[in-house]
Amino acid sequence: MWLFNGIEYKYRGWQLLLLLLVLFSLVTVSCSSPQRTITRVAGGKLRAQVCRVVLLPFVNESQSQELDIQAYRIFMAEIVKSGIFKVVPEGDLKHFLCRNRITTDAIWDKELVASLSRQLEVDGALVVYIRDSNLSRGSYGSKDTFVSLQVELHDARTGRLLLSSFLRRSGVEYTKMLHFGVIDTVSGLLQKMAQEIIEVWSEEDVSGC
Amino acid sequence: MQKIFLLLLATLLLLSGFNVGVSRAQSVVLLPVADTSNDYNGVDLDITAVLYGLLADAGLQLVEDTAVRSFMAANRLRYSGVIDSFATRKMGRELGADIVLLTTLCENGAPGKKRFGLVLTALETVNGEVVWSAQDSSSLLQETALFGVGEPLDGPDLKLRILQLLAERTADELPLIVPLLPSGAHQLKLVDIQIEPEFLRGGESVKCQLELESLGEMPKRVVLKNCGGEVDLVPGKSMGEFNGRWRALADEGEYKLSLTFMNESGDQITTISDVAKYTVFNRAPQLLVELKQGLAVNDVTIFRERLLISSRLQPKRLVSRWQVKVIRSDGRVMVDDNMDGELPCDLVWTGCNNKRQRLPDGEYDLLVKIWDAAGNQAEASRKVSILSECQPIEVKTVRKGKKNFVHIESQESSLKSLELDWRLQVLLPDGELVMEHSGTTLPVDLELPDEIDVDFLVFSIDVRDQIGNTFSVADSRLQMPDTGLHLAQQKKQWSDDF
Repeated sequence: MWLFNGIEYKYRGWQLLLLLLVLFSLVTVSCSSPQRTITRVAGGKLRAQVCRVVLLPFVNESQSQELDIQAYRIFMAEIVKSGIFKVVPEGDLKHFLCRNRITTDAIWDKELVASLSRQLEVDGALVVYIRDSNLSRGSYGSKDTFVSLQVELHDARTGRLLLSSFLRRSGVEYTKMLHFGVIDTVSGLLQKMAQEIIEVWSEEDVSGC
Repeated sequence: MQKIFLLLLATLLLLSGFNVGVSRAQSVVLLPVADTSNDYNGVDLDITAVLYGLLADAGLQLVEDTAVRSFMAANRLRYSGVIDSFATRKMGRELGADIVLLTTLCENGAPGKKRFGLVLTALETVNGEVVWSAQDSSSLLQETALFGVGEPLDGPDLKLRILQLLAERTADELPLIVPLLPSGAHQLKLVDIQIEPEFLRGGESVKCQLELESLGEMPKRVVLKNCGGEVDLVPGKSMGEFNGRWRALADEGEYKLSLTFMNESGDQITTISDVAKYTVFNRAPQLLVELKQGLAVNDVTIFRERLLISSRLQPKRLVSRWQVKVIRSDGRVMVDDNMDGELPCDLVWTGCNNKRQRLPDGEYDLLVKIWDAAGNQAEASRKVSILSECQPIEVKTVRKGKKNFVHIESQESSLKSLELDWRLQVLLPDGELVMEHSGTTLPVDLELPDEIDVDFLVFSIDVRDQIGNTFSVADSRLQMPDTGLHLAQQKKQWSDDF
């Protein structure tokens, strides 16, 4: 029995149980993890032979300028941190592009990747497409802000696609409860996405290091 | 005994380049913080100064920032967030550094946006490899705490907290990086290589210009391979410059070049394969020219307003120059266009000369010519005809036997093969319809009714040819053939009426 503003309320046992269930489900839903990364894996043994990779200039198809260079540095940092691959310094790639008169928006055909492989001594090439993003409106933590990435790992010697992952995330997907856990920075969102992709790739046993 | 064994093991691990948790004093170069929050190539010297102070406070041994900037200027390092492995190794030698720390500012709390994000990347100076990285980012919204306990006050406070956190992490983790053993093959940097010309004919002269940088002594011998043997490149005027010249191989194909560097004793230092290439083309590709938006009649393409010239090369090849000429039947060149670069797939000719004056109707020779990148020539010629007016049509009456006919024919015999769409209407002088016909072929004879008894008829004709030219005659007089009978009937009729 409860008293509120002088009015007497009586709760039965099943009503309390229902209330608890509703509260529990709310907490569970808000704490649920985001959907899994969509990853396509090519068959064959070659996957295990990739150790030293080059991160090619990101292809920015979104409206957000400078997102490619930021995403590049964040991705490289996460790969180095995870130890999944050894990465060619960005400066070495830039020097290769400059020496061979290749623009950053060049089409990376098999021949070009093979030439890169020989000169930079890499066995994998990571191609990242920023398919879409919306970061300009409101807060990064709001639902209408997101980043879509497609990350591909190619065998640098043959140009063969080994792995491809697609991921679309917004900052609110990481909310634990109330506003806690929300990712409000583009750097944080990209870092989390990179971590997720690396985690999935680690499960696929692609690292040959 | 156990201690000696452990000591030996530790020494072995150290020598083999394993990353073990051995703490040692590391000398660190901090490059200016690259600011990509607003631009691709921004630098934030204020944050650099703050980070420098925080790293020094955290116990890292940092190289003087003035020395770093002098090195950057001397070595033409224009970007602060990126450095190649050679420059890293050079920095290690000249500045006595073990680690080069690159910093990129991804977000920097603009007014109204209290967010901050920083990425740190470390390169070791023995081989110039990326060995460590850390990043952190946050915003005032993300930092909101229960009851506001420990929240950053504002944007600058948030920035300082993140910088402090990253500086502490860097100071904790960087000394644990054990320098790798030098791999030995990376003491040279191929700054630039130029092959001139890249496309040529067999037997022609090719030139190679090479620019090298070395951390130690320059190689004594530089050999270029796969250019019809070996070519020794000779040192040029400036330090690190090497030049060479040779005759291209006779056979057509792509020749990939490799470079081998040798020391004084003739030992090979290193080889870089597929460093450049040159291509030999001895024959021109086939030039295929197709004329569109015109009408092909036999071997002549007739057009009225414009002609679309579609060209392609079989096989595809780089084109250095192209030419289009229009030549009159007497040999006079009416149009001559010369351009450098690729031949456009589609060219539109409006029938004008270089002064944009319309050429008179008639037949011309259209010549398309290309020079491929190696200088081989290919050409294709087509006959074209400008026809901006419909061919004149003659309409008359003729008598064959006892019958009268309307005869229609084209006056231009040369273009008689052009199909025409015509429509004829013949009326009596009082407006009564005698006949109405249409057709697509000329000449034609159309029989007139026998009962017509007038001096003349009135006709209208509309003609449209296949390329869209039109010809019209309206309400024109068509004299009837003089038969004698007609005059007699006329006289009789007059008498009767009278």
